[in-house]
Amino acid sequence: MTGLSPPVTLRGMPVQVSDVDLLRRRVLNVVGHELRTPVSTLSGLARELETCDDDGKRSELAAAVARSARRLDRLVDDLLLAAGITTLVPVEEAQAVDLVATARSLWTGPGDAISGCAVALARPQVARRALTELLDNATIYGEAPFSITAWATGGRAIVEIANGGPAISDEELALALELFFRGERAVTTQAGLGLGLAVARTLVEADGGDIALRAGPAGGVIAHLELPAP
Amino acid sequence: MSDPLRVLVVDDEDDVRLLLRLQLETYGHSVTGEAADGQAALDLCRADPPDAVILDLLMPRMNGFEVIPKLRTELPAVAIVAYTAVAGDFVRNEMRRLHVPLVLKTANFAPLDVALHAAVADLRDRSTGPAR
Repeated sequence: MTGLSPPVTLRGMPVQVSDVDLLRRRVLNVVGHELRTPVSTLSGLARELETCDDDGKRSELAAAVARSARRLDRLVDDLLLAAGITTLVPVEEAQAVDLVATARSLWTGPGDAISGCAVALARPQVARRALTELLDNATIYGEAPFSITAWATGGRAIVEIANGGPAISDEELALALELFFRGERAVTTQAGLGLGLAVARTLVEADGGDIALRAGPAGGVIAHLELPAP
Repeated sequence: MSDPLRVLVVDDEDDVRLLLRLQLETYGHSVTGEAADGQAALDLCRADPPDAVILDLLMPRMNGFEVIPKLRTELPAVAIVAYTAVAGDFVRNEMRRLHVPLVLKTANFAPLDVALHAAVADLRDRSTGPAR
């Protein structure tokens, strides 16, 4: 026993204990913030449901309770995945997934924004989750024009999702796929954990693919998703 | 039950808006409209000014911090109550500076009801009170 504590490292790099403490407090703050809204909403909806005697309102309330519960469920899944606990990763087998059809089923913007074709060999839930995160990210934080372009090359199925809007700094783009990172615009406009893109990348990497972000030529962001082709 | 108010609900979460609408109605208030972002809130206020706005702070397009000065300038007779999940020092100080009452999101509507009445009464007192 030497009395010395082992050096604290993060991804193999030495860090100060004060940095770890700051990080821990930031993570707990974000998690607490994100849990509070669905928990308080769920609790309030349940109270209303208990006292409501209007059948129409009761079914509206029941649907809202179910939505809030699903949101909490997904939040907990994401936190477990972020913690490296992978028991919740879908156990389905990889199969041919039409990425364009999946994107069309998720996209709520103009249909002509989507072009090309690409079929991937992946777990359908992984492909769907990745496209959901990338499309949500584009529409929530970006602006028109949007384009979703798919193609296949060299045994890879690729989808790129481009949005307009203000230019994002290289520093922010480099961090955007990290756990708990929230961009400058996100912090003031949107509640969120900063987990979605990081979790999507973790899942996609497990299927032999990758997600990357780069700046658009005239502002905005281009998100690049690639997965193995069958 | 205290005086019913006409209230605009502003929150980007559908279920939070639904809950607030039902709670407001339970407390005898009427909802003039619902908005999911700051710009829609301003448009609805201009079209049909409510007594008060329940204003979420983190919203896409135009957030609550951006809405407050615009509402104050254009529609000074509309009371504002900020409604947020978690408020750190920055949010608390900013709302104090702007004289906007802040209520934390909980399942209990009573604190929000109190804050709405207080904010409306405060505005009415200012508009009818002696010039300072």
